[in-house]
Amino acid sequence: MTSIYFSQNASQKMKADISIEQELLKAAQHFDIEALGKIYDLYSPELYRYAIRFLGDPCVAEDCLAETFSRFLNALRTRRGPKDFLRAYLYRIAQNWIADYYRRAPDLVELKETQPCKSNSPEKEADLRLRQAQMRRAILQLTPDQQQVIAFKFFQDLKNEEIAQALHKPVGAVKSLQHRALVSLRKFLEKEKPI
Amino acid sequence: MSNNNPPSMPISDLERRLEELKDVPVRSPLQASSARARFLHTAAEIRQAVSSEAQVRQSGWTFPIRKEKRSMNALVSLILAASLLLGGGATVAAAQDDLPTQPLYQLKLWTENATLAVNGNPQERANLLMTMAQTRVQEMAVLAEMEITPPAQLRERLEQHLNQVLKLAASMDEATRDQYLLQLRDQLQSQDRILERLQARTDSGIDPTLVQTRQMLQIQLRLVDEGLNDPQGFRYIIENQLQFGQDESGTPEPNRQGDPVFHQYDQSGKPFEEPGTGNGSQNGSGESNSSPGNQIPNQLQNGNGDSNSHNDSPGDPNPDNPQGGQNGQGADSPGGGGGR
Repeated sequence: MTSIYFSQNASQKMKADISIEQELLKAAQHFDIEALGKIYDLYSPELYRYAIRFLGDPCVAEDCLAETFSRFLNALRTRRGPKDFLRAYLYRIAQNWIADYYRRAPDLVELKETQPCKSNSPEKEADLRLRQAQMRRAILQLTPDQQQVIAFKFFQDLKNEEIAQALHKPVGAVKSLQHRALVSLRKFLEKEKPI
Repeated sequence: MSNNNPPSMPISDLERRLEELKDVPVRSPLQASSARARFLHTAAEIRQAVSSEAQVRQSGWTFPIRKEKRSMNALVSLILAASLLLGGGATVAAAQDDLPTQPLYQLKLWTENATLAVNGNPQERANLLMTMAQTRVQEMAVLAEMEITPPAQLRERLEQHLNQVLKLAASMDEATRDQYLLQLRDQLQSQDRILERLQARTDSGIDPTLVQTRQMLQIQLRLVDEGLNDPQGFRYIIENQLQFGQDESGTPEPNRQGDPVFHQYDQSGKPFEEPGTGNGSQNGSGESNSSPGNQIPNQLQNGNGDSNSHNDSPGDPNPDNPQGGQNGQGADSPGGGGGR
């Protein structure tokens, strides 16, 4: 009973979210500055977290975010912007930017002074950074849909229903994407040299 | 054959590995607000360029005809004044994104200074000042990206904020001071990188404010390194040599000579008097440095130079370090060239 109540609430919330998103998007298509500001406030925090998880560097994540929103504006300007599912659209732009970044950038793990060091031991910190870099490489070889599902599920802690709503896919498809993504990740990590 | 074998890594291991990516540093609120401002500025520019506002044309006669000509009456004026007064909080909030070229910027500065003035805790004051310094750099960056030359006062304010942080740090106990100096060093390096990128990107290498600001940041960096390597010398410099041209309110006073004055030092780190100037005089260093931002101790001006007396002192635990400046740090790549 409780779970039904919660799922109904969640479903209503998601519908409300989508309705708000649609209204904002409609206003943004006319370059309504207030709506664009709300869109930025709504999505930039999670997009930043998404970017920094893949990129590992706050400065590069900022660049990614700036470029994502810049491309969004350009798309609106040329009337080629999204008609719906803005969130998925923005994630896809960020994802493409990240893929391009790794295609351009050399495959190296930097330990920068500006990055916070969580452990007291430099060796442990270095190991952690290497493992993170390996996991990033593993995720980047997934298909774009699989990457988004992994990010939503494991980094943003979204439920399957929410992911389905965000990606405009049936829940079954999300489960299937998640399963295939995990299998691919395991295969990739098993092939790699353990750290 | 081997592809048909089920993968052996347990799902819990995989989830743990994914968890390692989950924890991310919090985004700097200043960076966020600056990025938001840039986004909205771009949007406003595109809006102006692409879509003009639809003009609603009057299609018929309206009554009374004189409506357009009538000036604002007293009641409307009163309502407007009241809304401005009551909506002061919103105005202050709106001012927080303003740039030095915008009308509410003074209000933003006033808010910052008021926050600083009511805060008596040195650590919180240091945090506030570092935030204010970061705001100044962001403002500079936004202005430069908009191809507006940042006003010199912006650099002066930044320098004042940083000097005040150093002064506060000098009065802290050892552990707290080191923590703040490390934090400040990271911030200064990050700020320098922002300005460096800006110079490269906007082709504004000749912009004197950006150049002077970067020079000033380098000097502050050396002071911070001094504080980490030789705390006593650092405290001596801060307490005796930096003559602040203001109180700690955060806003520079009108220039007597312009900026905080740094005095000359001899090889032992003690100040020496220039001919014709008294000890502790406000005019002590104006002669040798034409730019206000360059009014610095001699040994701090040359990051790699032999004149760096503190660096060369026998008590210095790490002679290779930081005072070497940007080149030394930039050359450090993990693993080095041979590793790849």
